Order: sequence, then structure tokens, then C-alpha cells
Amino acid sequence: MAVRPVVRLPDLAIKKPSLPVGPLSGRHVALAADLVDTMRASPACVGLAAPQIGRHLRAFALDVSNHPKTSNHHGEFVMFDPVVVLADGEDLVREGCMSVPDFTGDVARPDHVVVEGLGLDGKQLRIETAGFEARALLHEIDHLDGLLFLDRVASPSDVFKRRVYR
Amino acid sequence: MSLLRGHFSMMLIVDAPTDQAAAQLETDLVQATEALGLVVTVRSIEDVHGSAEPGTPWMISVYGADQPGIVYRVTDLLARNNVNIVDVTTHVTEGDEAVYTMLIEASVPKDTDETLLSRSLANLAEELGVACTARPVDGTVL
Repeated sequence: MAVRPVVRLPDLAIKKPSLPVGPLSGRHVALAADLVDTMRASPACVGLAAPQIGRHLRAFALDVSNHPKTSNHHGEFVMFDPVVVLADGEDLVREGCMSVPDFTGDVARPDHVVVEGLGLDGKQLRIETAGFEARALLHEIDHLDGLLFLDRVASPSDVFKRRVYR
Repeated sequence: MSLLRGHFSMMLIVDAPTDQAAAQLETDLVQATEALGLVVTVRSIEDVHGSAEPGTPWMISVYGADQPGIVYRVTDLLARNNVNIVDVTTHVTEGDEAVYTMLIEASVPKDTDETLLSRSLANLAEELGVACTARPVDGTVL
């Protein structure tokens, strides 16, 4: 378990789709630990997908519990091979991403989802959630398909360059 | 208005009362901005009406390592496909690994082979070593 370097633009490795994990083994447990450790290393980070640490496997870690925008949440969890089985509603929220450090973007996403995958124990994990946690889930699942929020904005005026105050 | 690596540019469309007023406007502006070291031009333009046939609204995101030619190659491909650029915004970050982002709101003619257009853009992106996502967006206005 370690804090890994996060892949960022202009490195286009972040655009490569990830492969299914299948039955879990020890190396997937190690991957989960790396995801959680790397996520925790940045206080503002509420989720991290495997491709963001250079591992193109369908896995991510999430923990929105400390975020001010969170309503309901499921605490810290890691999920493998997620599938969105239901998504409805819509909300428009400004998102950031560790792999796109210089920009934020307004993205419309469903605000109620049901996602199924494998948990760290190798068993079926089903998460039904709404609001900020739903958004974070969809953002991480996008990473597994090589998609960034820049690919989801609906208009040019929905991307903002972060101001760096010196 | 745009600010790119410390260089500022602005484009305005204005209504001048007469053609003479337009010519005088350029003289006045050049004089008024001399101390700022700006390049100022004023030209009269045709009143252009929008194309008769509205197209399908698309959103095109292009991003990757900053390099010369991204804007030219992408807009050239779109022009050759009769795709109208409705709005475009570009950003570039600073530093050794500068990230260039170009976001285009486009109007794609209804008779366009959309699969071919998507593939052409994807091929161009690969050639340039940038990422490109192009997709129809919901043009619904509530």
C-alpha cells in the first residue's frame, strides 16, 4: 500500500479505457490499498480511479463523507467492475479532478444512481445513492472509460481555468 | 475578449451611424490607445444572416499537450465538412507541460455523415497527439 503519483494532463494515458478485473486476487487488494492511500494523500480528493495511478483496471476508491456538499453517503469504499444499473434525474455541478489540475467544469449528470460491482471482499456490492456521492461515482466510472469532465461539458463556457493566486 | 500568454485581444461588433463615422472611429481609437501600444482596426462588415438550415448542435472538446497547429488543423477539418463553429473557447496553462484546451460549440449540417465526421476527428486527434471528444448535444431550449 502506497501513495502513487497521479497521472495528469497532458499525459494522455488517462484517456485509455480500463479492463475488467474479474475475480479478485491479492494484487487487486494491493491496488485498492494504493487507491485509498493516494486518495487520502490529498485532502480535497473524494475519489480516485485506477487509471489515475497508471493502472488500467476497472476499479476506484470513493469517500465523500467529509465533503461539504455531501448529503447521504456510504463512507469509504472500493469497487471493482462497476456497472451503472440505474441513473435518473439531473443536476449541474462544477467539478474538479486530480488529473486535470488547472481546470474546473460545469457538468450535467444524473443525480440518482444505482451502481453494482464487486467490493473488496470479492462479493457483489450494490450502492444506491444520490446527490454529491452519485456525481462522484459517475465521475470515477467515467475515468474507467477514459473520460474526463472536459469530455462531458455541454458548452465552451462551462470550462474554467483555475486562478493561481501568488 | 481573450488573454493568451499576456497578450490581449478583443473583437466587437458595433453599429456606427454612417460609414464616415466608422472611418473616424478607427482614427479616434488609434489615437486614444496610442499610449497602450495596441493594434486597432475598424472595418465595416456585411450584415450576415445565419444559414437558412439549422444544423445539429455538437460539442467538441480538444485537449492535450500545447503545440502549434491544433486550432488550424481542427478548424480546417470542420470547415471542409461545412461544420459551422458557433462558439470556441481556448485555454492554455503555463509551465513545461502546458495543457491546451479547445472547446467548440458547432453546428453540423443535417446531411452530414456523423460517423465519418467523428472518425475523421478521432484520426486527426491521434495524428496530433491530443484527445478529442465530439458529440451531439441536446439543443432543447426550455
